[in-house]
Amino acid sequence: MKKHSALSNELWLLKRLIRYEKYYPLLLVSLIAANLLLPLVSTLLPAAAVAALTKGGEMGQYLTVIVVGVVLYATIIRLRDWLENQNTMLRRSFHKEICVGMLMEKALTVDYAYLESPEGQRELSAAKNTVSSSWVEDIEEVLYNVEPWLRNLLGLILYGAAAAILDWHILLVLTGMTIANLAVEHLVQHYAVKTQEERVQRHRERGYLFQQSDNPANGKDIRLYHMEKWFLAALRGLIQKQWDYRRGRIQRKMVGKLSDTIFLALRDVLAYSVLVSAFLSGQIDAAGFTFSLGVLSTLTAWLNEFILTHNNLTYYSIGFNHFRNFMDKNHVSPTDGNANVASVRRPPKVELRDVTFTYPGAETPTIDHLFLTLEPGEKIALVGLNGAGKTTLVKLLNGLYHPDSGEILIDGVPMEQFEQKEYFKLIGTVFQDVNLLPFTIAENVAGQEQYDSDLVWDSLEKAGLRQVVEALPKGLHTSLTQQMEKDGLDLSGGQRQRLSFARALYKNAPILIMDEPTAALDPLAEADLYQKYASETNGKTSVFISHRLGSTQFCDRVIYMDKGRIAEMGTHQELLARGGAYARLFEVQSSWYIDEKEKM
Amino acid sequence: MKRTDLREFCRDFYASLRVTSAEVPGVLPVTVVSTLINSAFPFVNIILGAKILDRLLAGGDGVMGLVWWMVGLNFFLGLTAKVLQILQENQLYKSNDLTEISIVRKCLTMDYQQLETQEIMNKKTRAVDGSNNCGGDGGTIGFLYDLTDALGHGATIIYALLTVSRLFIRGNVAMDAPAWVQMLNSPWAALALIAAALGVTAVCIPLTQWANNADLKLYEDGIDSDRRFGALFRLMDYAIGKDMRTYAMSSMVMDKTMRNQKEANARYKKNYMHAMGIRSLVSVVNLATVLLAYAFVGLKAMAGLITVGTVSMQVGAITAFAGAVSQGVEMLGRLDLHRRYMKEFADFLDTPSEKYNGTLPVEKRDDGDYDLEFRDVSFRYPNQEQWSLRHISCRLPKGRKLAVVGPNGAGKTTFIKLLCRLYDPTEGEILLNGIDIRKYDYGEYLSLMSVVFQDFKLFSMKLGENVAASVDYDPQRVWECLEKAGLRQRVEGMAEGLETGLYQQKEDGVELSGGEGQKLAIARALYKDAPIVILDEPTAALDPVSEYEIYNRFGQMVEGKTSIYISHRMSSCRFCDLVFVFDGGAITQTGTHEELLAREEGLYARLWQAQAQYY
Repeated sequence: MKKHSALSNELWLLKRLIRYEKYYPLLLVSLIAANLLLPLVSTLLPAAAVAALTKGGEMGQYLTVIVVGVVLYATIIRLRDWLENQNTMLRRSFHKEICVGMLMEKALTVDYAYLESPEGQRELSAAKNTVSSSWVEDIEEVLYNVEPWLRNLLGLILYGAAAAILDWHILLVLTGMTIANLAVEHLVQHYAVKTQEERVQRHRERGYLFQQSDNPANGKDIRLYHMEKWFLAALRGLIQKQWDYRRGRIQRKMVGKLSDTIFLALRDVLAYSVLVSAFLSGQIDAAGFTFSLGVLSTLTAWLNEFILTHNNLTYYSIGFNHFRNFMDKNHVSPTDGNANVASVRRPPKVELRDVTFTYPGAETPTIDHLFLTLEPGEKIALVGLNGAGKTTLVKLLNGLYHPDSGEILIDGVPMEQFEQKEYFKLIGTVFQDVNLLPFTIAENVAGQEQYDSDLVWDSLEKAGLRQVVEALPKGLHTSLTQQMEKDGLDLSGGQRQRLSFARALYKNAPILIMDEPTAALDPLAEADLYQKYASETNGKTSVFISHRLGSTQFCDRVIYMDKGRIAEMGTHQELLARGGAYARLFEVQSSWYIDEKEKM
Repeated sequence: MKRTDLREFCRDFYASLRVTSAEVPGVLPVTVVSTLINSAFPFVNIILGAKILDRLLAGGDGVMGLVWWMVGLNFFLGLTAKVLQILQENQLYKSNDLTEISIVRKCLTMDYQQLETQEIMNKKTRAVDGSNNCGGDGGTIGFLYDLTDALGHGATIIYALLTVSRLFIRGNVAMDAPAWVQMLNSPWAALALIAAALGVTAVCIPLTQWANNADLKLYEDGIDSDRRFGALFRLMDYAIGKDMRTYAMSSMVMDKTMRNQKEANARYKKNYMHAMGIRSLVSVVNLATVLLAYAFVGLKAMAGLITVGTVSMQVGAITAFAGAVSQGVEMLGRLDLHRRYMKEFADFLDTPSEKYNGTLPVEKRDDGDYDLEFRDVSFRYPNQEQWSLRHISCRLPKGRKLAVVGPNGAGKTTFIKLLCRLYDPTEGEILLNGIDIRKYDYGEYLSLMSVVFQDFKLFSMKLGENVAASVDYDPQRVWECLEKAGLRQRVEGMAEGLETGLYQQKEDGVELSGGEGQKLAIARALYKDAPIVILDEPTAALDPVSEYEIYNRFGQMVEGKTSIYISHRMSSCRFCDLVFVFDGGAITQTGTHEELLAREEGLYARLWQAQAQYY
């Protein structure tokens, strides 16, 4: 992971914050000024009161002094609070709108192969931590430290100068205190930084267990397999490690507190000796004595606060690197040309030429020098064993992965020559794992908020869902799941599969890919879907993947894949006649049905 | 607070304390002692600082002695306070961690049905979110921090009153002193000052309550948008990323997210500025007390009734008093808020099981002689009007293989859920060896079942642990089960074998394909080695060869056991001894494959034909 300095990270954020709110610098300066004035007034007030009393002043004069002092104090407080609240809210909306927006935009559009890779998963998850609300080291915290850091630095300089004028010995003690504090804090900090990565990992794992435990989807397995002991043991293990860490931290902190208290005592002894002798020798009066004491004790507060915020600044910045690095990721898809999608013939010819693809970290290629041509309007059945590379091939065709070598051509135009967003327009895929959005049914079918209702109904009809949706009180506007709307609906597995088919129909792209679309359907629904598929793919170039080999019979050609290559190719009949791997596979599945047929 | 409110407050407060201190008994004593010392700390300077100033004004004799006293006390109290604070913080975190364990334990062991009951799970969500959102560091920590603060303010009030009590002592006043001096010297004047300070606080109380309510609104107004945000945020998941890109849905997601966030932020800001504006006002109103104190004590000093040093001391004490009272009131409000959330915790943890849990042990038999029978069982899901199962009466073929088929939504999976007592029948009963299954100990009853559900779940922990569903596993047995499920080779190819982590929670975690996951779930069922085996759509994601292997091994896997095989692949009925056909929540046909196929008009024959026509 690339580590930026705290300064660089703060500037990175401030630049964007100011772009979001140009008055931020003004707000910052005013807030610092108010925060500097506040302790000054509160130190001056008692000193002024003592002065008015000891100088034998009149009652009226004394009362004026305290009334003015208190009113001034009240005014600054109101102003400071207002500025502070504005600042907090600004940080918050910057975090929740801008930063969240940046992250999501990036995650939703970054090259898919990267997103899906373990590396991408890890990096996204770490970046997410910095913007999720349950995480303490979030972006608001990173930004929060800017104001106190500046304020305490200025306070330290101003009050330090005042103290130096009083007596420079005190500065010596304070310097000693600073060094000791920094050293101890460094010790604590070093420990925290050293263990940060593993703590983040533990935090993730704890969050995972916590979330899994009350997920109703897991409930059945957890109970049937008495998994509670397993989960609790894992959780206890993680918590125990966290306690071990905290013990180490406490030991280091204790040292800090001890040195701190010793230096505070030294400061007090020195400050009082200096001030008492100054008073007794007549250099200062009672008011001066009170004021100077105030200055010295405030100075210590400035100092401690400064050290604390300075450390926080560096500490939070480490976590923030995850966010920044993810945003800086430059995973541009290689598909980034300017070929025109509109000029692609419908249906198009699709050609794979010597395509090879290896998963990151894998030793053998999943797709191995594969050649394949889909003629315009052809229906292809893609079959093969688990792990033969079918789904990977789908992802390549879909433009989600990019070949390590070789080319994919659409109507003779290499895939790379399309802009990726444009390329996706050519493809409609029903993926093996059905993923729907927690939005309305219509939005799920159309993929956008503006849609053509007739077309949506039409697609639902063809996918065999119209009746179900018509029976719903909110019809097309029914939300899926209760995540977004409380009256949302949970669809069954079969219904979800049909809905994702409707989505592909609505898109009406020239290339249609179906990856195992009938796994959750009963035999009648399955047969029904085959029919629908056969009629809906007219005028499209299409690929149908299924383990149910009956499905190959309404396809023009069967491709049998094995170990990332095409092992056999031809019509169903041809392949059966050839008696190769496909025929054997068909034999295996049909054997259960065939002899019955003969009997009948 | 009304009387009933007060009683409720005390009861819930006690419940909250019980939750927090149940597992870390030291947390309360440490909190109390640490608070007492912490609050005493400022008074050392207030009192001794005043004495030093007086001594100086009186010529400075012995002033350094006082300084040594002050420094010494500060050192001792400061060190103790800091050490106790660290210890307290540590215990707070411990207590928080242990609460987390209790919640997880509860979630893992509560009735399955309750997991899906919104109101119960909402208690948990409210307790967790609520305390996160009302300014605390989370559940118990927020509560205990506020409790600490409230105690601290109480202690400060006592110390302050002790200090201020000196104002009640009459000074020596000449008989001819002016009337205002006489008046100031009276204890009544001091009492009036305290009354005035309390008066100022009284003005602040409704203001504070107003602010507390605004805080509550701040949180409650955000619940919906937070939930939506959670859902939108999850859409960054890579699984849906394929669809997101292919169907160009990202702009819709971004639009919705931005709208949700802008609206939520605007509302939050409005509420926040309102709540914080009131709090700021309260702190300013409280300054009236400081002003009164200065005026009163200053005039007393001017009249020579007290020394100048005492002025700063008394102002300090009165200010501390007023501050503690008003913040104490605020804390009580927040504590009340936390108390409400903590009560949700306590209620959640105390949620009783609705399930009747019998005590009968299940007879351990080696011959697998477990006879299961449904007697006129009907079932509908909670809050549903439609019956999912109606009048089911059947007996499972003991030691034989049963196939269950039927259209989507016919009630096949519900049938299994009832058998596993994830739900209890609405009507009728299920018998094990002639006794209602509710009368058996639930844990023991479940140990009879090895089930692979259609939507089986594996977890992002070690592979071996997933097979054994436990931290400890017998590697040899795990390998055997993997072998039988047809996954041995794949696992042998993994660098860390059984130690390999699954999925993304672990570094270097391995992704499994749908088919591999299914095989692993089957291995888990085999490892459990229970006398009744149920497989619900176990081959949906498998290729014909793997399917064939499972079919062929099925007989061997379940030898001598009662087994149920649910599938949409009609071929599976061929190797089962008996077939149940479900339709519309009832068993419409039973018989062997051959018998059922012979009834040409029956549903079974139609289902079979639908698939067989292609072969």
